[in-house]
Amino acid sequence: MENLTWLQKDGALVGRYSGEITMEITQDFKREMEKALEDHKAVTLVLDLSDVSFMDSSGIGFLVACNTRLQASGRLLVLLSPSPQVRKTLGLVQLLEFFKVAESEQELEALAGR
Amino acid sequence: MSAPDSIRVLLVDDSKTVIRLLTYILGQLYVLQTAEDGQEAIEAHATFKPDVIILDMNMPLKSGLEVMQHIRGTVQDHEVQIIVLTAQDTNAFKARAFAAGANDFLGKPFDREELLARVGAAARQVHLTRRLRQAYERISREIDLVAGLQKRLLPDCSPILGETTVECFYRPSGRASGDYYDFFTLPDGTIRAVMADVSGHGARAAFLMAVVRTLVRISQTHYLSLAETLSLASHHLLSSIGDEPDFVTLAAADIDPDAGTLTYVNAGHCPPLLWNGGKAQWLEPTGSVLGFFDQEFKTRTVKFTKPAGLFLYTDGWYEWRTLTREIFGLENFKDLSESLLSKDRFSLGTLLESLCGERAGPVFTDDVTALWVSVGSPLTRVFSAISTPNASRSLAKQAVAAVSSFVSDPDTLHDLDIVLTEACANVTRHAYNNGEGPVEVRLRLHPGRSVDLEVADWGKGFGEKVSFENAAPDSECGRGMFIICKLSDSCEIKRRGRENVLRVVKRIRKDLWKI
Repeated sequence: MENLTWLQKDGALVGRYSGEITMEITQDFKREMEKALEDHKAVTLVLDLSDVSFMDSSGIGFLVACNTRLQASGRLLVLLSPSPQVRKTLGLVQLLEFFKVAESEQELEALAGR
Repeated sequence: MSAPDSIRVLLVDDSKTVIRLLTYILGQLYVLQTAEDGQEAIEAHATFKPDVIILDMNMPLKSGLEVMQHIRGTVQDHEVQIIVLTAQDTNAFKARAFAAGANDFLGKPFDREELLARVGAAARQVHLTRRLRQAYERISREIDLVAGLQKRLLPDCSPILGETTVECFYRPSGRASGDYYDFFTLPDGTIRAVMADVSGHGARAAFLMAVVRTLVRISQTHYLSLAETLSLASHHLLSSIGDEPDFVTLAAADIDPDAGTLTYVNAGHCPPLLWNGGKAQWLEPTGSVLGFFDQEFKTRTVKFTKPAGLFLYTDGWYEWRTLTREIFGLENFKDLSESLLSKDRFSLGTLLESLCGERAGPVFTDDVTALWVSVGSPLTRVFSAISTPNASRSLAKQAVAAVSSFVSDPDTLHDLDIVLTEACANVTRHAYNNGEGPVEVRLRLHPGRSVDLEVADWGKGFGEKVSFENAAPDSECGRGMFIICKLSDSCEIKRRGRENVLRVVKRIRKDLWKI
């Protein structure tokens, strides 16, 4: 997935995705995430969603799956600066509170407990 | 429980002696209940539901007059027979009691025979009323049945046939109606649209409407031309109506979208409107009404260029009175239709709304029916694809792009994008058992009002387990339909023939439209 980039920052694994999160890409996205989580033993996975232009319920399903997967292994998922489109979709199904959301790098550090 | 033909009599008097005497005389013949004052009488009227009340006038708490005012005025029970029992039988008093709703009088002290005779007369009246009501209910059920059958003779509205869309409006004045509309495709791909109005209302008109419908439908199966269809209808109606005063007006048109031709015939019907190249052409009668004499019908053919539309209606649309008691009239109706069309704002819904905008607003007294057949309108678009994930998403994008020529608000467009993406994704995931199949998005814009969307597939159908509820927070799927409904003003799923259709309406504020 060319519009997905991974980087490590202060012990957290940060995935930054730009574009649309729909049924077309969620399977690939899931695979990429599994692979990244195996390669890095980071405690926190951060998904930077600031440049996501569209997300549907498949995208929600993907985020929920990530969250479940991480929680099961005692780790944390944080959504970083979700775009208005992502907020809209999550808000519709009342899941904005369900996820840990960081608006900025500072908030992220606070959430990750550093 | 009392027998259904028994008569229930409520005896109201504050004298125990009178009550005992009345009970003794009437007890063998009627089902009785007693009340000792006006307040008790009112309560017993509500619970015992008497057919006859023998009512004393001078009582504590509430007088007989007050009891009658309550029963006739507040409760609006005009059926219970009230026999007033009074020692005071001056003419002035009687007049007051009659005005308050008494049916009869009995002077105190009363004679046994007279009491039996007066209560007997009231009981006969009750029996008559009951029989009348039963007869009315039976007729009413039959008319409901006719109306139900009749509704089934009329086609389902809002289908899209290729680049042609048909919008219908049907509001019968009673339960059964004399209006008839229809449309269907002929074997050569031409679309035939029909509008007819049988004189009169009710069951008689509905019966003739069914005859007309059968004759018109024969023209589809036997592929009769419009001229042949009308000759056939004229001939048969003449033989079935005979010398009766009934008649039928009918306008019909064959529309060939590819050739850009419209052939029509008009038997005394209010003129249909052909909207073509930004101009209105009213298709005036080509012959007289059906049912009076045998006649041959000539058709006329006109050419049109797309986008074009044909508007068929019945006279109920303009034969209603304004606040100033004037008939709204055909000319005003024509002007209004043309004005909406010239502003690209025409739809049957907008037309009705605009009539309501006229000071009086229409109180229709006749059946009101209309068909709007639109060919090649940019306000109606169909997009289709095979249900791969990729094509599904792009189908949604195409449809949203089409809306964006008319609506500028990015939030509304984003909402529509989500709705369509979810709907198409549902087809991709569920319709064809993990396989692929056709999916179609039909878009209909009502400028200034709403966007209607239909997402259709021809797969296995929705089944029982469609959930419109939000899924649990940790669920990975099952939110699509909830989101669709949340972002729209109405959403429904239905099976239409072999199609599975998700129908969504989203209202869009007037100021968010570009036109």
